[in-house]
Amino acid sequence: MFYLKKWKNKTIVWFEASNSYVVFDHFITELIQKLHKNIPLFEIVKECRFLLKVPQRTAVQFVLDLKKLLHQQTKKTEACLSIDDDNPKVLNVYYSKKYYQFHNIGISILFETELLELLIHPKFKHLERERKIKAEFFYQLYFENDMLVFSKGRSVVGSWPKDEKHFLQGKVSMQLLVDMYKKPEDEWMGIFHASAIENGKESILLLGDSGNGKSTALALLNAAGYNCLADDFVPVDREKNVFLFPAAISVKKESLQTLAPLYPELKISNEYQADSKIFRYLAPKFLNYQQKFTCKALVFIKYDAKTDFKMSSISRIEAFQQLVPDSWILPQTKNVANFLDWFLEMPSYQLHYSNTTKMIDHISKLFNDEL
Amino acid sequence: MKTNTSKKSENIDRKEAIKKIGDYGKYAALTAIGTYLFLNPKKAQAASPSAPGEHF
Repeated sequence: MFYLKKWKNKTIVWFEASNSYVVFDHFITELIQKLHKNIPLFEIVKECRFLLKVPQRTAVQFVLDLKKLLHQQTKKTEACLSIDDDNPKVLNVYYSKKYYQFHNIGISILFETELLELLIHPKFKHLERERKIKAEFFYQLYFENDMLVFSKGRSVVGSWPKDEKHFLQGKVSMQLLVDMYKKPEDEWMGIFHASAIENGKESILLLGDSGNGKSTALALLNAAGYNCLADDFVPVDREKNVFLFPAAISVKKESLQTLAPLYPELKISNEYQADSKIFRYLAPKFLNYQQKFTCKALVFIKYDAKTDFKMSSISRIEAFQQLVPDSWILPQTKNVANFLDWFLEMPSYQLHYSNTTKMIDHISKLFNDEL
Repeated sequence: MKTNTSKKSENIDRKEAIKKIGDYGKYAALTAIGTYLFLNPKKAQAASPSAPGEHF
């Protein structure tokens, strides 16, 4: 029903029904546990009064609020309605059929329309094979009843309203990951909205909101000799290893001037537009599917024209706040325990920069334990 | 310009604690739910909102 992880003077509680993570002081968690065990309210209120040194009325209100919280976080929600069934549409007419090679796995994707192709293809264009290859897996993307539908072989994987295209894109990426590594979804600890690099031994995750410069930093570090592991979609398995995800790096128009001298191919690559941002895709320099890497640190990065360079450790609570809302974490108790163990051991930093040389230099120092 | 590499304590300061967790002495009368730190991960794997395909 819920999982508790004590950590310094706080407890992180994960509620299974709501898939929420809540950070409490220890004593609150103890009260919640007592409420959960149906210990009489008057006893809990008494304890609360003693602990908080507050009037009876305040203690009652406090305990009632906790009871409400516990109820809300543990009540079962109704299963979402889905149009999924096991009979995907047969697409006799379609816009394109592409073949991609992910390491030694061939995957064919059939796009019903040009817009559907645009959702997926540009990120994997560098893995496209012109000549028809032997595909092991067959995906289809199409519209049905005004929904975006993704099917694999003879099964519908999922369907989404048009305004949830990012979930379709995420699911296709997840399915590609599952198929290219032959590792089912429940063997992945989580997918992080980050960029990841490796130095041959370990990896570092660069995190931050969209537009913070994660991808630019990744491309700069890639050019400086670090291998790109993933951009935007960083998979970590339950053994806590970061894997390669070979999608192209998205380069915003604002970063072209910085990156074009390092990557001349950017000057002639196609331009795309989304959410009023203009960008191009850059194929990672070297794709190493064979190795997986432990994560050395999380770096919350931000390009800031007003700051030359600034880097500092950040508290776990700060890192946790930034990491969780942007991540998919397999919602199973054993995995949540695994994730929290992994996260709480992970050094976390905040890095603001406009001086790219210093940024690269400090990431190198971080890799080399020189900070 | 200043280059700064420093380490910050794991402990959050009092102001942050009140803001994020709620102070259970003086601030116990505050609505409990609103003062805890709630975090919801993504309900499914998702691409960045700025991935292409806004033309629907």
